[in-house]
Amino acid sequence: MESWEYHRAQDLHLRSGESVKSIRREVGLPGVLLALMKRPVLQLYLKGFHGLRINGKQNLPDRYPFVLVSNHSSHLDAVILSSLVPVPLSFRLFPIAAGDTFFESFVTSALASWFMNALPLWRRKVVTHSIESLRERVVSEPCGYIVFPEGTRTRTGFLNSFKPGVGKLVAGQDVPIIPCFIDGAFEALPSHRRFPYPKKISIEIGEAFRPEQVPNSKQGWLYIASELQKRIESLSTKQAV
Amino acid sequence: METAIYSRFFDPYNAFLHPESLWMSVAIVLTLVVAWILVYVLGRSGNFSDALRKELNLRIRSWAIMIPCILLPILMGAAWVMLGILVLSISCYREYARATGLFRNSWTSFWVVVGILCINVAVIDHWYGFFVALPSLGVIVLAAMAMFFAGPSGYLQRVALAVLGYLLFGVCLGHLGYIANDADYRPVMILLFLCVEINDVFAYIFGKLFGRIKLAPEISPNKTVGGALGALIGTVTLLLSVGLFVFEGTPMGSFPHLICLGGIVSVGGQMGDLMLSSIKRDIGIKDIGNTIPGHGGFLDRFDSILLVAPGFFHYVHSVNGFGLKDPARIFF
Repeated sequence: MESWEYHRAQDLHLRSGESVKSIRREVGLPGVLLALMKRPVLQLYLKGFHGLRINGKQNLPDRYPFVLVSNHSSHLDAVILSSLVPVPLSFRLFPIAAGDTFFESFVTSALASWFMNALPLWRRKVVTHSIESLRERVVSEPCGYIVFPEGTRTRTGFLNSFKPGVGKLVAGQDVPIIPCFIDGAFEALPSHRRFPYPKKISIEIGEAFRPEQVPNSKQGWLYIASELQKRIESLSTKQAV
Repeated sequence: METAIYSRFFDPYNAFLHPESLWMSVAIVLTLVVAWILVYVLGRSGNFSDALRKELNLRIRSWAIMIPCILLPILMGAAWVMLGILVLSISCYREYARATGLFRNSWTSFWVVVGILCINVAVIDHWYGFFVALPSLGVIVLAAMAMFFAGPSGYLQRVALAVLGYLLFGVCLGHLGYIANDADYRPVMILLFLCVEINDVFAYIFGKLFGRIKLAPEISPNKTVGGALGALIGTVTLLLSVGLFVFEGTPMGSFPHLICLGGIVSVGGQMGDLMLSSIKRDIGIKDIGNTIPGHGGFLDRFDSILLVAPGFFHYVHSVNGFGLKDPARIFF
């Protein structure tokens, strides 16, 4: 018999206003029910409006923890990635979102946290501290992240260079990183548009990259970032062929 | 909807139908005001230490918020009582699940919430058969459902936590709502809340005055035997003297019954307090949540009533009966 651990909610003593903006926020029953309800709606929208095509489904993870990594060209990206994973893995899947974009006002932070489950990463403030906490969280409790290593949406449609932050998050840990390439999202909803066009979107899911051998140092972080960029670039050419 | 049901549920003009409700409400508010003045005057004259004055002020301030929150729904109508109890049940369960880690098992948690909702359906519908069947039915459903979507490891602990949560916050608290199925529920309910809360106050005051021997030093170092006995005597006296008016002309309105009821309220209340302390000690937290900023969670505030409600309900129900003259099975 495995004894129960009183693994209490990490945001137990936060007020609800604080937990919205906290990276310790936990998903309870309301969050799970919301995820179950929004999933078919989003899938119907992606399939019907954008004709979403998925290649490489066999590469998707079957258990926590994992990190989904992709190019970032529109707000649709996080929606697409969160609708991909199997249902049981979709409840505690947290997109890592820019704190200064999504978590400054109450309305956007409530939307981002309740609807998308996003966790804030403050770009301008002390980033190291919150990346450290996120790094601990992904192994100490079962959960998954969606990370866009470019750091922001592309303004041109081309891939920007990957930042080493994603490496900081996972270097040396037993967390598979699944690189994905989303094609067509920029045409469907570029960063200057409010509402999407009905353009075709397809996604290519690559094989998992395991960073447990990579040292948790600056070189390791840079190596992970460049390796992921290479893989995602090769996924994009694979798709073009 | 029949007029009798409608007026029991919603009619605020019935608030002071019984003179006992009126003078108990007035007495409660007066007591708070007098306590506030006493603390103010004694604090001014320098009889209290600064820390004690601050603590008493904090307690009085929290009572000033709690009393209207409890009293107004009771006076306004049964629908508000039942809604309030439902919110209380769910909030307490949420705090408990988040503190124990049971919330991570959403499937089991879902069935506990379904159970709590069923209890409240039985309460609102005045369906006694379903109400008394639900504890055992709930245990069956939880034991069966906890097998799915998770391996056998931790099954026993998962079910045990879920069943305890369901029984404490669904079933035990549900009895409070069921009292409101009697058209004359108001004075009884005010009396119950009054005695449970005053019981805590008595334990605190008598503990400060006569407390020397610790009651349960490992669970809660501030509890003393003197405080417990003082609370027992004080609460029995209070319930006896007020209960003679509230239960006047019914079988409950006799000395032996009221003394027994006072004992149930006092012992149950103190046990509930110790129970929550044990739970918190076991988990290793000080407060169980932060729902009421500065005062911990709902559960920290309503711990004493948990173990009192079923005992009180079934004692009065077996002697007097709750809602025997009121229409049952309203909706289903």
